[in-house]
Amino acid sequence: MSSTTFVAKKLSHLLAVVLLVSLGVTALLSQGGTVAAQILGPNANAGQIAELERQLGLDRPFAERYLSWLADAVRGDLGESLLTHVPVTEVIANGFAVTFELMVLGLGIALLVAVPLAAYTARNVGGKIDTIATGVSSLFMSLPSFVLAIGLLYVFAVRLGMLPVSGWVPLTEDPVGNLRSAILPSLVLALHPMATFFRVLRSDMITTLQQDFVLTARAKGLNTAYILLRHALRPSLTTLVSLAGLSIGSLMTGAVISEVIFRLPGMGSAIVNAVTQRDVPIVQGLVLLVALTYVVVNTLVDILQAVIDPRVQTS
Amino acid sequence: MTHDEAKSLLRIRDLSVRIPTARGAIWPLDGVDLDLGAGETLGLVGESGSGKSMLVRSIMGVTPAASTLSGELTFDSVDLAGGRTEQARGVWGKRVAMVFQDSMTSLNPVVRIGRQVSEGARRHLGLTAAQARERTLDLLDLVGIPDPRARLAQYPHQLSGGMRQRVAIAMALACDPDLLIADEATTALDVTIQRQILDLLQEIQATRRMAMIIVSHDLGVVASRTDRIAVMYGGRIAEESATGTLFAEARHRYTRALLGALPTLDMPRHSVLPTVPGSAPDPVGRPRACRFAPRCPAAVDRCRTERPRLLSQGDSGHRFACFVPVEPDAAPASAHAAAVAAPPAATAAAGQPPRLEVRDLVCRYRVPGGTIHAVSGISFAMPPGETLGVVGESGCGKSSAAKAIVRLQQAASGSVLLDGTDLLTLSPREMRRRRTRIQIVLQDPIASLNPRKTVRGCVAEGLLIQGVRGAELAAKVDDALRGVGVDPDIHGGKKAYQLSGGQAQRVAIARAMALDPDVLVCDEPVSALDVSVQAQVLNLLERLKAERGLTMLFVSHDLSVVRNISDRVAVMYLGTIVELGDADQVYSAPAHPYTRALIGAVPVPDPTRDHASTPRLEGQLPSPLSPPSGCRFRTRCPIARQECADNEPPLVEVAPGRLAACHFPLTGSAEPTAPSPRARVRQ
Repeated sequence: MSSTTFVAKKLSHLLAVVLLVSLGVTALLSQGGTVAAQILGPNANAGQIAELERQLGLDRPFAERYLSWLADAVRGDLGESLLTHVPVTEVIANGFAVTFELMVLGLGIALLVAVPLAAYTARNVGGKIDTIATGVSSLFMSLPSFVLAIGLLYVFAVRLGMLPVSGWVPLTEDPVGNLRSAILPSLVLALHPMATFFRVLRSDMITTLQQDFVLTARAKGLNTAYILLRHALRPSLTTLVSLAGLSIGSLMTGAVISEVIFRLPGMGSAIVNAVTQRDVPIVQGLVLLVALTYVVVNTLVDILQAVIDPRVQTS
Repeated sequence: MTHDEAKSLLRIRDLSVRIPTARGAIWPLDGVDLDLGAGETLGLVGESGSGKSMLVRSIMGVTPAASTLSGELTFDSVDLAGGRTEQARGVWGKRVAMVFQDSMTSLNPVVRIGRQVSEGARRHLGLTAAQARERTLDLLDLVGIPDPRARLAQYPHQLSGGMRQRVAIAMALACDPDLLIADEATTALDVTIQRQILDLLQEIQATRRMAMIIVSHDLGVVASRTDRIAVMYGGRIAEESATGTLFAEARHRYTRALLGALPTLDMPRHSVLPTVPGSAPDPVGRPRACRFAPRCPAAVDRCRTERPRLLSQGDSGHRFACFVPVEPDAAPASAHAAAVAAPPAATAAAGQPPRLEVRDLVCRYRVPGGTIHAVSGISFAMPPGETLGVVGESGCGKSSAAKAIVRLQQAASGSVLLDGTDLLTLSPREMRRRRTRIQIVLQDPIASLNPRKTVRGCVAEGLLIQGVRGAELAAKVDDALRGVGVDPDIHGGKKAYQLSGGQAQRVAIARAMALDPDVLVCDEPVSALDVSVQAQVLNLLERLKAERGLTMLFVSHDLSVVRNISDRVAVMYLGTIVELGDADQVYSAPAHPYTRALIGAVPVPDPTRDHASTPRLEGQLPSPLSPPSGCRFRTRCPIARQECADNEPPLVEVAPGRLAACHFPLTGSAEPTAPSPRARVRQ
């Protein structure tokens, strides 16, 4: 299989998944009450609700509503909130910027700590650092993230006063302040995946280091750091990369929790409000974005796998 | 060749390696003395667990992390036993380099060929990227890799096994070493490719005048390509001498046994091979005794209480560690084998209906990128009591055919008639009932036995499926185990991984024989076993065959083994049978050029034989995804013509009882004298 058809095939899968997700969400939200009841309050009668639904176009058949939304979405118009009439794209842009930054920082911290530590401990199994790192990673994996969040808040923000307790400074206003407000929430986000990444890569590295080709590299008289970096790391990355891709889902969930605890204006609060208020266009837009992120990341992961291991593509 | 210590390049004195384990310390190396002069070639021979690999790993400084070295190990006066000193690091990979066994695993699958070959030279010689690239191109060219420029950016999986091993050799030569170690470097290769690689190593060794250590379990590989041979057993050197001396007048009992256990191409067929009882020694501890004593027929009390030292006989350089050596004028070891021959197999009278008949069997597999034509229409018939050997290189379809015949793999078309009934058209239920009649023994005995079942459980399973229960079952299981020489009271409760390879293969044979089959299909049954154990299993198969009147299909890549056990031989190439006939006739006067090349490539354990006299088969096996048109062998055939590309030669009788698929079959031993192109074609 050539690399072009490989990528094309992956992209067509991506498109199919995104379509199915948006269809599913629209279908789910069309069950039960509508936004009209929310707008009009508990005293509205059935006739008033029906009238408002007609005005909002909610009385049209499901297929028609979905298709017209889809046609607009393809042109980049995701509609506007039924309640506040703010364009959906604007709601997304505001919330997603925060959530996305948290996720990227969280993933980055997790990988930056996990990869070197795993490479080092795999070479020195049973050493002091290995014992400590393995123990601490168990702790991070078993503690719920909100406990970690509160603990970190207490130590760094309340006791040491090094970082703000809550609030958000946009990147465009003050990059340093932005980083200060993002560091604790993203750290909370990072700890769990960091522990998992470390564990997985460490055990894969240990296996790789027992391979014949590592013996060959040692017999060539190459030094240890070079062998770890050039020969052992890359073949050990497959599971880690898949796992990092799949962790996007839990990172997003984690980001929502972080946003609540640190009171950040992210996507998490936006989506929770929209669902309870049945503000369909907002939910559709946000879910579309979440699904798209997830699928795009995992498509990239598949392509990355083929880059890491040249045997993946051809077999 | 006498050995001058002053000129010694590699000097090893009382070298031991100790590895702590849960059962106590093991000593993979236990007091090894060895010298190697510049430009000299040493063969290091031994079975698994002999310590030969640990010895070369010690020289390379790549012993396992938990191990400790003691004793003296110097290379050109540089101490290599004292850890990773600056001086030692200047030797490893630069002045001493190594080629490993399996190039599939010893080359990094995710690093480009160019980097893998050049990185050693860049590290040790401080070459720039451009210089390293030039050097890599030269090296790849030197080891006979076509179009080296294109290889630089390729990955190992894009090359064939033979080409990969050439890359591994280029890699080892990168810093122009003074000593090259080839650790079972050709074991994973087919014989024709093995021959190419061994010739290449020898050429390079001669032109560069470097010293070489060829590590092998195969005496044939080292016989004609080394100056001296050291035989290892249980972490110690048992015997060491000039190559010719070792084969002609080995003194150590183990060396004798090893030489005798090897089936050769020139011994009578169905020879009962002399065996070494028991299996490799337990590496735990370092007993004050001869390691071989428990298996030695001549052992005396002294052998069990005192450790024999490796002593020189005069100044001949012939050293051996034995209290009760074989007398020097005793008959050569290999002559023992011919002494006892099994009764010739009951070959069927003409006209008797065949027990097993295979007609136009075809096997295909779909893989990404096409269809592999594993077996492309093979036919043969076996009368009751016959052993048919099937030989060929990897990818020739011999294993696929074996598995399709017992219906473990789906055949695309064709029929397999067992006493006239086509097995391939039976319903699954009928087939299950019929399975008692035809059984299979697979290559890897430990992997082919269920790891969760006991030995008794493995043997009982087939009987249970056939409805045997209770006391009858227990009796049949124990009988089957005793029949293969496994004591059910000692081993019956063990799991497969607790057995040695030889024991496990006996159990696998017992499992098949418990159902009392008429036909036994053996797919490489001795390939995973050491030579001394291989002989035990081969003898067992011969005995079972004689006792039970078995008809046996014996698939193997090892031509010597096949010749010894078979009545007739079928030679396969790329999914087709190219020659079929009486084993002696096929081996002595092959009719197909491929058969001749194959036989010529077999490493013969006879240092006097000149391997250069037989023509070497060049090139690689074509892809089974798109086999060549016409005769499939024509791309490598020395006598191919246009005819061969146009028409596929049918398998026809070229002499009474001899079938060959060749437009220009070889007659006698003479080179074919240009036959008129069409004269021999029978349609």
